Amino acid sequence: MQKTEGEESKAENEEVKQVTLMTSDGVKMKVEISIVYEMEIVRSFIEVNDADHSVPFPLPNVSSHTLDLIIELVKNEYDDEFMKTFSHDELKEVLVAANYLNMKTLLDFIATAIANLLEKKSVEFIRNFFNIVNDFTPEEEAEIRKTNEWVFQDLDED
Amino acid sequence: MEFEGLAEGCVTTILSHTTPVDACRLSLVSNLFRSAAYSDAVWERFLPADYSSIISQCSLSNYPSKKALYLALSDRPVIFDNGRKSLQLEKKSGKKSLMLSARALGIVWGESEDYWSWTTHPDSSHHQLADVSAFGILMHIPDFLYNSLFPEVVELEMVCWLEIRGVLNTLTLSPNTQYAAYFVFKTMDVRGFANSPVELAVNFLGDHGSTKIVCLDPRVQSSRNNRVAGLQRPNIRSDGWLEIEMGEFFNTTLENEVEMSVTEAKGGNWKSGLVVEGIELRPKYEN
Repeated sequence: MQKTEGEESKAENEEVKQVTLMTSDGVKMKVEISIVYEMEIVRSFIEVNDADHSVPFPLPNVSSHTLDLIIELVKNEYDDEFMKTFSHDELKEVLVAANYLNMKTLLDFIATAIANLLEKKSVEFIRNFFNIVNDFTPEEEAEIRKTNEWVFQDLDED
Repeated sequence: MEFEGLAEGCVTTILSHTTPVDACRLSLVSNLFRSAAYSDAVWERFLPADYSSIISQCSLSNYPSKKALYLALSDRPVIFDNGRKSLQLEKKSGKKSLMLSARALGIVWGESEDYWSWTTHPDSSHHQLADVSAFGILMHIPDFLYNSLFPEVVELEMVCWLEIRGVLNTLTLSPNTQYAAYFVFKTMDVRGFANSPVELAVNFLGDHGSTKIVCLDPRVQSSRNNRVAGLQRPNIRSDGWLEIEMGEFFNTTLENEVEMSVTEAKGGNWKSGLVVEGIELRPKYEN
């Protein structure tokens, strides 16, 4: 998400450099407005309501740890090396937060990383990775295998 | 650790960064994954970037979903650019195979009837092959046209100077992909190639590229001690045409023009009996 020059100067004129966000664990964090502007959900609220930036904006679905990671990722311009230090849980938390905050660049970035991680992995691995229970009946499973027969022809596992 | 709140949007975005094979395979994970794996948002990513401009040029019926469209484009080639080109997607990767029809090629002497003769299909939106062949007997249409993808093919009556050239903008191919070009043809009472090696070349415009010397006549015995002994011969394709690899190249993301040529002008003898379907470019893998 690119800022336009107009928005940047507006921010400077009003001497508003930071927005306070309140995370799910009750931590108030001051975040640079250029980063906040990548969060569509916050940005649209600020723009529509011309909100008082000193009142913390609540993010009930994002923990302070996750928000820290997001801020670092954006500051580092989505550095692959930094992201490689993330645990699987951190990757998933950032994924869910990026989707919730509607951060398109971050969501794409993190989804690509997870897609690479899941490449050629078994269905069971994916279920474990996301803590997902198989909610298909045997008939539904058979139906999916039949519909996508060309994919399963060459596979002997799963 | 508990993990909740995985929205379909997250799964959709992840799956759109995988491959068609993985997206279908992972539809087995759960209902959430299946729903995402069948979504248009995912399959739109697997279709070529210019797919809407291509399908607007061909007579495709409406498909209920982007996945159905993808599968249709990978099951059989579609003809576009006024019958001059065909497109097919490689099912597992979505990478493009393109064929330039004879009409899309530059053929020296190609517009002189004494040297090359063009045959146009009576029904240029042909594809109901069974109907057409019954019709064909009445109309005395040459057999080779039945199997052509395109409304027109060209037959070599006779030339001394054989030169066929195709040029394609690389942006119309899939990026970051190794491609090979194939000359696709048939022989009908072929003459003049048994002792005439043919030069095949593939290069980017202005570059040297690669050339190879082959024999286009599939009947010539390789043991025969002549000028084409030991040279590569064409293979038979599943569609009944012959093909021979012309060369390969790596297609980056940058715009370029790739040029492919079939030439025999050194021998100077008369040559006849080739039917040209076109030049096909398709992804090539090491394995």
